[in-house]
Amino acid sequence: MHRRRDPGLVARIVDRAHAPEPGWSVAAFRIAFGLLVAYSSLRFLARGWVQRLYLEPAHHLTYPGFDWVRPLPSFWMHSMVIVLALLGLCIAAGVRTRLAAALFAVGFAYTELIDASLYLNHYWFVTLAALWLALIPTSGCASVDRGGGTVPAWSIWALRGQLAVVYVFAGIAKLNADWLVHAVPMRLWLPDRANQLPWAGTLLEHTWVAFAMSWAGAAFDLTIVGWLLWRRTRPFAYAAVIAFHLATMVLFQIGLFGWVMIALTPVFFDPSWPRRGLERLTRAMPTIASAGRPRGGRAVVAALAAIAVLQVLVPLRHLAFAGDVRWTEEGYYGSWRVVLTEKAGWLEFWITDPATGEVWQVDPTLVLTDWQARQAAIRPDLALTAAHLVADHYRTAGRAEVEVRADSWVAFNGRPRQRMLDPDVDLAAHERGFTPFGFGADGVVLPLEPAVRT
Amino acid sequence: VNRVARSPRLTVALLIPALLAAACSGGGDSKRTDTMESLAGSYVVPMYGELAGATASLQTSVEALCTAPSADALASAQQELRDARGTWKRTEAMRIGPDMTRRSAEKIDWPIDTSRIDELLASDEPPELTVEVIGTQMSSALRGLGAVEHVLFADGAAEAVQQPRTCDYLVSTATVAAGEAQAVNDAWHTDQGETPAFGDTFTGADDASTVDMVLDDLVNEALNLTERMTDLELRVVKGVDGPDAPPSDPIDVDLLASIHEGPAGLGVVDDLDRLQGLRIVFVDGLGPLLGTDLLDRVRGEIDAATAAFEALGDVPLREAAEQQTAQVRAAYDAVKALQITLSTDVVSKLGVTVGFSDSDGDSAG
Repeated sequence: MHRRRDPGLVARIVDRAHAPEPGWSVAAFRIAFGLLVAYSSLRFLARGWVQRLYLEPAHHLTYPGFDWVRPLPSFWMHSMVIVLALLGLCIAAGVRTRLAAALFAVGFAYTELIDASLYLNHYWFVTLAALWLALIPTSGCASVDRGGGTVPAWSIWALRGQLAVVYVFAGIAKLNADWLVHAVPMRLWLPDRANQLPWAGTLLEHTWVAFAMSWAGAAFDLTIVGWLLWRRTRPFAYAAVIAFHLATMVLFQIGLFGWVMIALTPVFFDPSWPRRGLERLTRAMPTIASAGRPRGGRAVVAALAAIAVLQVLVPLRHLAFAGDVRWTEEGYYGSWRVVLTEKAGWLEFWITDPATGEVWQVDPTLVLTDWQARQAAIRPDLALTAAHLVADHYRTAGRAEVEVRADSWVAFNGRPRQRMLDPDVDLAAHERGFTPFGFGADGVVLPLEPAVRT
Repeated sequence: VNRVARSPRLTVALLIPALLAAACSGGGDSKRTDTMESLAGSYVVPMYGELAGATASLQTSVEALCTAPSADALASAQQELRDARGTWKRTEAMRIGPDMTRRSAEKIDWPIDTSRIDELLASDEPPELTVEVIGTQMSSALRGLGAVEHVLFADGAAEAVQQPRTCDYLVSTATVAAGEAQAVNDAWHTDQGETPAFGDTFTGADDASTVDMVLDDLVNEALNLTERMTDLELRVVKGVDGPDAPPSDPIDVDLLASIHEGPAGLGVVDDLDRLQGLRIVFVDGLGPLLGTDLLDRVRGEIDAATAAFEALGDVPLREAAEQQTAQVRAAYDAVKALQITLSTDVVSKLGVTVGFSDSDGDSAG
């Protein structure tokens, strides 16, 4: 009797990954993403942020290793953001989708690399989502580009996975004593929102509300992916997603992040959900082309596995560094630590010219704008970069080498203020490191007292 | 099927009363609004009333001095000047609202140019120094409480006030300051055209969210004040080798000019009044929002700074900086400690900077 040979786990995974699925949910993701980034770019222009954030500063707090990324002249910088908006519309309409998404990712990443003090987790998410759209095959659903109407299953899982990474690591980041045992920073922030929400009023001033929101927020982030994956709970989970993000948008200034998550999370629904919705609205059956089996193989699955591993390692890399990432910020970038800490800082630099013995004090605004200086006062890596800019400033002024030390104080998550940077360390002589690999914070940043390890 | 269909309805039925109850319990003024109402009602608004009264008294006393010059009348006018200046300095910690939008300092107290004032009084141009001329045609460097001090405390002031032109100048300058202080006081109480009374803005009477903007301004103004006191005016005693290092020995006397002090030598008194203003704002007024630990710390730091200035005695600040450098440095350090606490702990506690990043935030860090 002939027995059919078991194809093996890897082969089954490869098959499942390349199984054709209706391209409608990916199309909905693409349209929502394109429209949101187009709106976001136009909003950036309309608010004058291109001028204020990119062109006005005399110096930028660059990412180590990316000092070569500079803003373009005014006309070209404005043009760049207009082009990003147009690329967003191309993505939404499905015009040369993959090329448009690739160009958008490169252009958007360029603007974000100009100044590290502008870093936001959701900008990082937008960059990654654009890269996914550049990689995912075009389905032809609701797009100018033609396609077979299907996408390989891995496309849907990649987008879901990207969203899952955001939620899960945002949840893991909340598993610390500050958040769970002391309900900070919620306990600090919510009472300040009482006047912004007249209907809530004094409710937000109750400690139990801060605790409830802290725990609910952590539980939401940690479990929502599971609820979204389970078909029976999916509609309720999505309602919770909407409620959660609307609440955070009302309570906190988080820009478009909430809308991005609300608009993109439906990718967890059945891949045909937009089509079914359309049927209900029009009572007509949109036709899609017959599903052809997409090409692909083990290489694609291997690449996806490598990306998945990377997506786990990057947010956790802070564990390789000494100290608490919330305090040192070493390993902060790309770690999905969203709306997690309250910091207020104060920073001055003391300059020593060893050649003359002169010592004097300068404010970071010598080289930074006010908004850059505010970020440098609470983020050690930016303070280090600012110190190097100050040293460069005096080097240009004719002093061969100066030493730069910081008088730096930060109040963190309700703790009494404490020194952030070691005042005895010459920051100008301390290497800035390379972004993913840390900046040697343990040689610059004083320990957080009392230490709370996440 | 029925159970499934009913459960959302049941959930909604349970949820609505719960939400209504929550919303109702959330009604009323927030603690922040209550605190700001108390700060305005008990301290800030009365302070501006006091300023209007003190400058009006100064105007009356210089009019009396010019009508019947005497040593007593001069002493009385000098005392009224001290009182008006003290009140003005106390408002520095709460200088938001009408006096900022009206740029009142340009009429009430502005750094003066003593040589130009002397030239003005010695010349006959313009021929009349009326309230109109002083208020609308003169530079800010030629009017305000500093100008009145310059005349009242000058050597030979008793003789000078017998000169009609000097008296006209004195009365007009005091009248302009008093008129402006009264206008500021009015703007706190009554609508100014389409602009609502600032007292209502301060307490969020029309729009609860204005309370937060006012609080932001208040804290930022206090930060500016402490910065002026330390890094600008007292930089002469700043450490020369680091934040904790001692000042140069001897001090750089050229930097003494940074201390704005007239012939009355009121620099120390000015700083004590400013600290009193900070105490009113952050201890008496905003104390309930700070919590016990932070309030105690802020109070202790203001106490320490006050004690350090009081220890200097009844001497001009410039003289103290030269002759009691270590003690003035102690006062500097005490104000600096307060400045850092306000910039970090207080700002954090009051949520003044929880604006995340300036573009689109996702982290306060």
